[in-house]
Order: sequence, then C-alpha cells, then structure tokens
Amino acid sequence: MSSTEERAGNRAARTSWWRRLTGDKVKALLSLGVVLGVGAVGTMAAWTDNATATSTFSTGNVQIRLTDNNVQAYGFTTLSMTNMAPGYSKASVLKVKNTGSLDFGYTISAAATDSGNVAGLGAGLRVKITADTTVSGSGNAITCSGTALTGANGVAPAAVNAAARNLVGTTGNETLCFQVSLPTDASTQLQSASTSIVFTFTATNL
Amino acid sequence: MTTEQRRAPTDASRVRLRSVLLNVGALLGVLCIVAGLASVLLDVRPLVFRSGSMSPEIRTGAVALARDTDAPDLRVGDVVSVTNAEGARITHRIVSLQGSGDTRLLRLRGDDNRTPDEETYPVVRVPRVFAHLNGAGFAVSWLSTPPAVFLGGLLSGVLLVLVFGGHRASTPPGRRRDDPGDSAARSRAAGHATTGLAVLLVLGAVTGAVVARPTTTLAAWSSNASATSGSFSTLTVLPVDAVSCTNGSGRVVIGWKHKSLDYDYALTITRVSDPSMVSTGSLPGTGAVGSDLQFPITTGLLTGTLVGTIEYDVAVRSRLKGSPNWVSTPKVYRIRTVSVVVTTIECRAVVT
Repeated sequence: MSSTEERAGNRAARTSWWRRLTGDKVKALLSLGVVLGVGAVGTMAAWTDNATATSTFSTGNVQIRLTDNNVQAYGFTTLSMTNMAPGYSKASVLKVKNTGSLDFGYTISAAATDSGNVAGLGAGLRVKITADTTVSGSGNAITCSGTALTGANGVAPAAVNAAARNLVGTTGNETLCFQVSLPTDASTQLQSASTSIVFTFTATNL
Repeated sequence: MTTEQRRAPTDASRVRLRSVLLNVGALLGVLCIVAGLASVLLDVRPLVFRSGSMSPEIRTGAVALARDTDAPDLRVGDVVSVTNAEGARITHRIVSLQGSGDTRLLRLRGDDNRTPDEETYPVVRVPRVFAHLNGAGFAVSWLSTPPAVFLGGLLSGVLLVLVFGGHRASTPPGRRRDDPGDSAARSRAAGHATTGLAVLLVLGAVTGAVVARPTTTLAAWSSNASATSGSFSTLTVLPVDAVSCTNGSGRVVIGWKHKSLDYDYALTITRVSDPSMVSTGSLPGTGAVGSDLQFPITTGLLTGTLVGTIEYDVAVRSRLKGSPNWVSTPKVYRIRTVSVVVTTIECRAVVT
C-alpha cells in the first residue's frame, strides 16, 4: 500500500496532508451520502418493482356504478319476497360497473333495516353472493347456485364482507347473483316480520 | 484552491467544476445523513402519496412527514396514516373518534372523497402528518428507479475518482486522472484513515437511510354505490277460527275447521292451577280447507293424581307443514275433570 508508506514517510508533513484530506476527500465521501440516500429510496423496491409499478402515482377517478344505467343508488326491487317461510330463498342478479378511469377493487357490505312491529328478520336472513349471471330454481326456492364469494357465504346481512374484486377502469363490469334466504331453523318469532337490505359497494383505486 | 491549481494548472474551468461538484455533493450528502439521523432520533417518517384523495391540500406525488402519535392525542381533523384490512397504507383525515383508554376507533375520510372510508381503524399509536410538500414524491419515485440508482453510483464513482484518482495521478503520470477502469485501485490507495472514515460514514448513512425510507401511502380514492333490496317479509301462521268442545262418553272432543292446506295442528293441555303442561298432541291437517278436524281427550291423556276438580286449558295451534316450529297463536278451550267415585271429564268454556 503505497499511500501507507507515503504517510509513514511523511509524518512531518501530516498537517498539510490532513488539510488536503479535509479539503477534497472528505467532501467526496460526504457526497456519497447522496448516493446512499438514493439507495435508501431504492430499498422501497416493494412498490416500484411489483405489479403496481405502472400506477405508482395515479391520476384519474374512481367511480363504481350499478346496472347498465350506471346508477349509484339502485332500487334492487327484483330482490324481494313476501310470505317467506323457513327454507325459502329468493335471488336476483345485478351488474357492477367500473365507470371511472382507474382500475379499482371493490368490496360489498350489507345492512338490513327491519320495519314493522316484529324485529329481528334482518338478523335472521342469510345472504349469499356468487358470480352467477343467472338465477336457478323457481317459486320459493330461487337461488344462486355457484360458489359463494369469500365473506358472503350464507351469512347475516350485517356480516357480509365480500373480499375485494377488481374491475379495470372504464370498461370493467361483472354480474353478481344475490341470494337472500330464511334458514329452515329460523325462529317462529320471525313471523310477520319485514326488512330490507342495503348492499353497499365500495371501490378503491388499485 | 491552491491545491487544485497546483494539480491541474492548465485547466482552470475543470478545477472549478470539480470544486463545485464536490461542494454541492458534500452538502447534499450531509443533508441526507442529517435527515436520516433526524428521522431516527425524532421518530419521523416520510410518506409518499400515490394517489390524490386528499386533494387539493395533499396531491398525488406529495411527500409528507409524519410522526407517531398516541391515540388519545389525536383530534378530529388530523391527517393520519393507517393500514387497512388489505394491507394498503391509507392516509386520510379523521372525521370521528370513538373509544377511551389507549385505543381509539377512527373513521377517516379523504378530503376529495364524498364518503368516509368504510373501514373503521382501531389505533393505539399512529403516524400523524405534520408537514407535506406537493410534487416531491415524483422525485423520490424517480430516485428509486434503476437508472437513478445507477446514476447515483456513477456520480459517486466519478467523485471518488476525481479526488483519489487525481491524488494518485501525480505518481504514475502516464495515466488519465478520470480513467474509471482504475478507480478501484485508486480508492484502495486512499489509505486506512480515509477508509475508516468512509466506513463510518457509510454505516451511519445506511442506518439512517434504512430507517428513514419513505413509506408510500394511498390517499385512496373511493367511490360508493348501493343497491337496496325490495322488502323481505315473512308469512304469518294463522290460528284456527275457533275451537269447540263436545262432551262424550269418558272423553271430550276438541274440534275446529281446517284452516289451510299448509298447516298441521299442535295441541297442548295445561293444568290451569300451576300452570304446567301435562300433555301434548298433534293432528295432521287433512281434507279440504274448512273441513272438521277433531281431537279426542280422555282422562288417560292427563297425568298426575286426579282428585277433586281440576281445570285444564286445551290450546290448538296451527303449524307449518314444512317448518313445524313455526306455529300460530293459540285458540284455547277450558275443560275439567271431576273425581268423586269415578273421574269424569267435561267441557267448560272457550278461553280464546
């Protein structure tokens, strides 16, 4: 190592050598801090190297709508039933659309509101949501026959928490099947009760 | 300045450039290191906004600085950063706080969102934004790309060569000072003291930088839609219109009209004095609606010691054929047994 030898041989000149060092070399080394800063940012590879890289920054809008008429608050009246008895079920399909410019993932939650004098039907009904595009069965046993979405497999309305489903911007759409049933072991206390269910679709940009 | 002039007296502009580069580089480097250290010591973390639901105040591409705050110190209106159920980082404004003790349930809303986030976030300690700079995130984003990292590496290499390469260049004069092919050897030549200093600086900067690395955050846009079902209503199991009672020989016969083809019938016999149920029975609904149905009751159906006069209520309930636990309200007829020498049974009166 020639510089070591140099230094050993030039102890008398240490002061000037040190001054020179602080003048340039330390500055150069300090400059390395910038590179390290860049490198530090580079450690965020998790969001730049993965699939979301193209949308690291998103501009545009998120808009979720229902049916071909692009309705925000839809009266889903085909999903209804009177004179329900235990074991009855009714189903209807609904189209969910991405009418915004951004890709989004959406989740579904539900809440029931009882009406009339008898409470509890909203908690007593069971909701199943599938990706079926048509319903099955007839009469008092109209169902969605397919595999239920995670979080919407025959649960009380308040417990519906369908796992996020993705729709691409502008053109993305899909039809889901909504089934509401009264379990065969429903309490006799639920006679003469009525309720309605609001399904809420919440989209968040990807 | 005298050092550079001695080293490269024929190229003053090059010397000046080198000097400026070194000064700027050193300044930025120190800033990076100080920022890293400050971030560690003050517990500040940078957030890069990937989307614009906090517009117009905090736009897409903003960098915000956030400091961990205990939940009880949070107030409505604070902008905090949380992780949602899907693991995405969301930075939104608090619209309501619930709870007591150490934990708070937060409802958040992006300034540009019409509705609050659906999810409520339970927090104990959460980063609260105290400053932001719009646009800076784009630079941060660019800095994380491979070309930027490469350029950074190149810059550092050039800087090192400029200094240490130049120092050595006076020894072997045949070589160009900025020949990158020899930079490694020249760096090695910088000496133990310098190497030690470099290692320290590198370690310090890396530590600071790793801890301070920005977290990207979605100031997520959201949109809601709703579908309200029609009414779901359950049927009512109707009671029979009326029950009758006919005295027979050693028995009474309870009778009613068949109410609906959907119904069977359930009977209960309850001792009035206790009251306690002493017997149950059932009768299938057969025949046309309106046809007579009869259920005979003998003393044999009534349990317990039959002494004196005992009254019983016979209740008839309709029940769904498919769901036997769904029954109607009862229609009740009161009967009694009289035991003197023998026990007789007789109708008394309609109760309901």
